[in-house]
Amino acid sequence: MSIEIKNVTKIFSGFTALNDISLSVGTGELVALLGPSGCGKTTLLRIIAGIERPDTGSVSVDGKTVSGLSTQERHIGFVFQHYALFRHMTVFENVAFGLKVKPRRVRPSKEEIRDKVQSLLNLVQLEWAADRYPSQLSGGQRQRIALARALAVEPKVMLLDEPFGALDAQVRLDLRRWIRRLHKDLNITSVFVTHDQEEAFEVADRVAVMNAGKLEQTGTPDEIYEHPANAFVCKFLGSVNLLHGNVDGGMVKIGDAAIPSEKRPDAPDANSPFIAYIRPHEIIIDRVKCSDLAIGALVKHLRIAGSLVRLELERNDNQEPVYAEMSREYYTKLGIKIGEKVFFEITKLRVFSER
Amino acid sequence: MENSINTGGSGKRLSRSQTEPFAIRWLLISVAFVFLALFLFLPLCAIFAQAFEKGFGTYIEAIKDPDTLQSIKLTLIAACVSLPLNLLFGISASWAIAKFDFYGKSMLLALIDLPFAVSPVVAGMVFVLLFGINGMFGEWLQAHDLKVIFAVPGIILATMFVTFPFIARELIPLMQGQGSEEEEAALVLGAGGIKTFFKITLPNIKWGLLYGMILCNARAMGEFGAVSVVSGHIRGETNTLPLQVEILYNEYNFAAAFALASLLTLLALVTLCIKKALEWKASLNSHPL
Repeated sequence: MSIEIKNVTKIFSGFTALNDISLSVGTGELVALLGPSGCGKTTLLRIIAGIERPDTGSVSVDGKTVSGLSTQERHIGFVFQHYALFRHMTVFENVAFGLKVKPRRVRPSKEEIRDKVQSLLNLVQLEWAADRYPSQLSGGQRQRIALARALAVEPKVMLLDEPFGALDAQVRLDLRRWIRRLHKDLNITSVFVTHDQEEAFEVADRVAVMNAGKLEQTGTPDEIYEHPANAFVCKFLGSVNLLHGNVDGGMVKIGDAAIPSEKRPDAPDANSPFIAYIRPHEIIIDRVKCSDLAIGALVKHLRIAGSLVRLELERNDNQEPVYAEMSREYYTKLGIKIGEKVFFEITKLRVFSER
Repeated sequence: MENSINTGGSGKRLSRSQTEPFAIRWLLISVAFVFLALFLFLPLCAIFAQAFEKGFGTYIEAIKDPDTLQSIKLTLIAACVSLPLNLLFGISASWAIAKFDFYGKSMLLALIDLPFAVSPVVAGMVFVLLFGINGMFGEWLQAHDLKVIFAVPGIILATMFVTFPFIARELIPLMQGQGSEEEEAALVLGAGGIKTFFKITLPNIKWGLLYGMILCNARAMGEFGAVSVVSGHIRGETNTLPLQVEILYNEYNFAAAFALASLLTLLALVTLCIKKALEWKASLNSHPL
């Protein structure tokens, strides 16, 4: 089932939560809505589910517009950020709820409901918890029950609001892999909301980056990472160095070094000021100046974080800080220490006009 | 820095309260108990002692008096009508306040508290002004041969006015705390509005609701001031139980007055017991083991 969102706008008492959003999600696709908190991603999800009504624009599922349908007529699975499990019901009753409230003529029999709930609890590996109450389960377990409850009504579309938000690091990692696998097995068109780019990139087929009620860019994780459409997307996808400079004849001048810039449709004109974004791992450090592009700097700090070593350099020419990353092997080979002089070379930079 | 001062402060207070000298602790506890005994327990005993002073027979006789029976009946009618109406109002008001945002919400919140703030006598006067013979709707009511003031409808109105905050006040913080996520989840799962209310909302608020109803009922049966103004004290017709107690007392019929007073006191004691039981049950329910 595909989802088609067309020109959706939503204004909450003067505050524009969504500004003319259009997005399509293909059948069986797993799409992440990625953006900082308050960017409107949850509102968009709630509009797809029908919990919120758009001011303008339309939502269609499987080619048919659902704008006129109420929430309960849309047959959508929704997993809430804080799970929203029914606290006065056992896990079994929670999962069975969607089946039990069906109109009598389409309601499955008691035995069918029991079997269905059992198989769903098996699927989320919580069959032992059927008689427990939500308050007796951990966060990760509650999240899985919320998923099982949403799956019980065999929704055409699955929506997940910050599905990993309130969990600790290890549980998040497990649940990510688990959701990825579940999506592969069941192949339900799914949209999930997250503010964590790593999460979006690891789980989603396609990522839609949102900011301040607008859709900034959609694409596969690789497309977005390699070719960010604008400065916001580039900055939001992870820590970057920010350098100011001038473009001169297709070359970006940073200090003494002139670096060929990536050809981009909105690349700044010649001789105009710009901002360049450089990811820490796109900087190579050496003890000697091996090319004209290398810039001299001083090692101010270094921190070993697992397999990575993060460095803070200070440029010799203008004393600005530059953050770089290198593998631990390379660090051992190089053997640099704090206070030593090094040269760094930028392998890739993304240039946006200074606005 | 500020943090360290804070933790230091609370740590100190904690240790001080733990090492409070035995004498001071003993003194504080006994002051509390002496106070309770003097102002609550002693009067309570006095009521029952007075009620049974002339024997059990007189006690039963006092209650079996037709005027008294009528006043009990009227009190029950007033409570039975105002309780369901206040239930309806309480649930709708707290639902509206907890789950929607609308213009005038804080005004509604403040207005709900009005009966707590205003003297019950004033509440009674308001109804006399509205529905009395010289009141705003007085002529119209008279033309249609309807009696509100000095009749049962007036008593019910006055009772409702003084009791309407009880249920709403109990439910609003409860519902605000719970938010509407569970209701939204039920809607997404295909439940309609009515099913969502009975299967999700009501079970979540039931202990608070019962608690509010108990308090509302106790006040409805015990209300004196507002009802006194609108009742007109017609014997055997518009006297509620508390008004009947006053009349008997003013007539120096102490045995009967205290017999009826003991009934009201019993109601209070039963209310207290149910309230305690509900609190215990609710706390048990929120942490099922």
